[in-house]
Amino acid sequence: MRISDNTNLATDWGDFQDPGITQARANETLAQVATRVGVNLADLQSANPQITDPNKLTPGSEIRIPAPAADVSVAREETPAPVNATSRHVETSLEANAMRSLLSSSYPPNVSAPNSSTSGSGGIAQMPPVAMPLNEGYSEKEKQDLTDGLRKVYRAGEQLGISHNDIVSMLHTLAGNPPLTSKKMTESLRLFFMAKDLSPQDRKLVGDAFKASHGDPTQAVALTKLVANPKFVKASTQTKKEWLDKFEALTKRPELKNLGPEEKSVVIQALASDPPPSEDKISSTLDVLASAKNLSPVDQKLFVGGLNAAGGDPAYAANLKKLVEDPKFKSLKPAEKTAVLSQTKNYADADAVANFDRLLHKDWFRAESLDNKQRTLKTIGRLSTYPTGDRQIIYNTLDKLLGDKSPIKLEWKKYPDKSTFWGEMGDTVLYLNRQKIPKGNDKLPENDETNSLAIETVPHEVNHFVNHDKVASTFHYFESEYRAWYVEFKAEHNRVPTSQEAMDQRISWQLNPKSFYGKYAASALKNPQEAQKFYHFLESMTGMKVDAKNWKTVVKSDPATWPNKGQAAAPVPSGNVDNH
Amino acid sequence: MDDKIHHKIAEATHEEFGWKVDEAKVDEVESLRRPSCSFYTVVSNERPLSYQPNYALLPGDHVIGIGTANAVTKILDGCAADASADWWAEIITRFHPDLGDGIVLSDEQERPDIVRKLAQAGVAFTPPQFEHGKQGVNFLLLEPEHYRLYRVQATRTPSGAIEVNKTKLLGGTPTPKSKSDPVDAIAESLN
Repeated sequence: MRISDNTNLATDWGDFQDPGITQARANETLAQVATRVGVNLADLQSANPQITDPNKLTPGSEIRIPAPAADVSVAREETPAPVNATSRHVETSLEANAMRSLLSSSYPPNVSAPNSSTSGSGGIAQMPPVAMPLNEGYSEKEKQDLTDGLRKVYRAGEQLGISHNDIVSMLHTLAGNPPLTSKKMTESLRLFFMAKDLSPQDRKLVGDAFKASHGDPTQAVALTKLVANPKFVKASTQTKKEWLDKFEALTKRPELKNLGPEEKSVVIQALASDPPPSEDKISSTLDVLASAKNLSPVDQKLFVGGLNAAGGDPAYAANLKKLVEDPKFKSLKPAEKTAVLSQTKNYADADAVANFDRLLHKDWFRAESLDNKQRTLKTIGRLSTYPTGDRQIIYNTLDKLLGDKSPIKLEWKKYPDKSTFWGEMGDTVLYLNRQKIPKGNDKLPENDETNSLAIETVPHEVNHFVNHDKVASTFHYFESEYRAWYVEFKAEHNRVPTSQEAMDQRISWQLNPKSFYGKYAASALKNPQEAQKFYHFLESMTGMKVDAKNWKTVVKSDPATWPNKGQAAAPVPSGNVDNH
Repeated sequence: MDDKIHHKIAEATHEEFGWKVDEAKVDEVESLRRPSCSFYTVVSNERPLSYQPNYALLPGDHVIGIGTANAVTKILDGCAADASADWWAEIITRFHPDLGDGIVLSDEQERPDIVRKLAQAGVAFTPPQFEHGKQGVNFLLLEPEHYRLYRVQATRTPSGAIEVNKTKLLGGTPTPKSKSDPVDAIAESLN
């Protein structure tokens, strides 16, 4: 069935947020608005006489987008009316024209495409070849869904600051390739959003590539990755064109035809990673996929899911292939393989997979129960991929746990306290409270509990190990506890603590007689030589003169009264402070 | 403290935490002592570990630790007569498996840093207070190892069990989020 009643569509479009109006964004000038919506600044100024200062727009204020003269004249012929009303009606008519243009330019495969030199260069004003987007066989609901979807994409594109021309180009492609799923809409928007800072010529190339993909969301994801790659951004327009053409050609290679959608997605993403796209990427990815052929169907799904989640990262793919081909992996029981592959998907990161592989070579890991293997995998996955910590400390910590020669073993222990007990370091055994980490193959929830265990406790306890710390009534032991805290703080925050943070979060507790540490500190403070070390430490932290008479007062004082106001970097403890 | 009690507590620590009996240093918490009950903390003299297991010695030489079923209920039943809200808060903190350890803030002079931060957040400091006709207690609890402050509301149910509701007031690290993606932010409107 043809959509023959454009009037209805126009009415619908008229209900939609006015595409002839945009809103000023924070700190935006009228010139920037003109660039954003793709119109001439002078025309924009003429259409908005209410704007007295084009360099000082009120965020959220409405700005009228002028239409090209030809369309305005058509509209005016339709609506002789007083000026204000005319202005409004002109826009409504333009909206109708836009929708007519939009839908009429969406063509089935047997209809010639609109001139590519004009598409994407002002679709609202164009009248591409008339053709209906939906042929016979589509229900009214499907047509309505398409119309609704296009409206939403238009609105979202505007909100994302995608240029008007690019939105129209995107809508042309989407309208011609129904159905309009939310994934298709989202990934299309992501692609054009990612491309929005490219030059107009480069954006047109992206729009053409999107058109060639028929709006396929899998290809949109891959194109987004390609467009975001710094090599692509820096490449000349000619090179960009060559890469996009090559990408398109390779996605049509016969090797891809027999793949399932997930496997095909893996190959397409690999093609888009690290440009230029090449045949080698297809063969190497197919090789990686082949390495999963002996896995169970469930594990194959996890394997492919991981590759997709990693977005075609060749390092991840290589590490995953190495892992599943590792005899240690092959020797695992089926449920254990699933546990490992679940986390390779949950933590789809090359380093995480390499660390999982290292785990497989640890006797203590292989001896763990399935539940504890799951806990270990999640903890290592979380630590490996923690995004905002000190990578050197985290890397060194993982190396101490997983390195070939490391003597440390990890053991999950059931402690009676499930709340405040995270773990402890025995001579060479890192005991962790298993009540803190749930078993299972899901991803570790990201909250205070799991942060405390994976990101704080593990580096903290490993620091005690690398420094051979022993409990004693000395300043040295006091400092070793401060050091372990200092390292966990850096591991979590990727910065050194301030003096105030160190005092509030650690020192006041370490000197509190109710605490475990405080008992040893109190004993050490009875020794005048040791006491001097404490006072000196507090002086370096606060900038105040500290002695036997005032140290307790200093510990409880307001950091705002310190000479350094508490904002200076906390003292660096002696010893190994990066877990190397 | 007599050797018999020390040994009993050290053995309980060995059973619950795996510590060797001779590495356990047992101290009585005199501030919690009741006419028929006494309380103890244990530290390891070998492990650099801040956690101090707590034990109660009830009439009949029954040793109760945090791993004992219904530990809080048993202690309250056996020892709580005329006890203060501070004492209740300490017992619940030390023996309820959902709490376990930490500093009950009874005196605002003890942690002026916390009082300052509470004031900045517009929250008044309050010492432990009874609620529900002495069947509940409300208090501030500092988890010092990770510097998190909670408001704890503990209530005795008709069966005698203690239900704990813990609300974080300060501290903790916001979960790092990947750089917010404006497309994802807008994607919901597309559904």
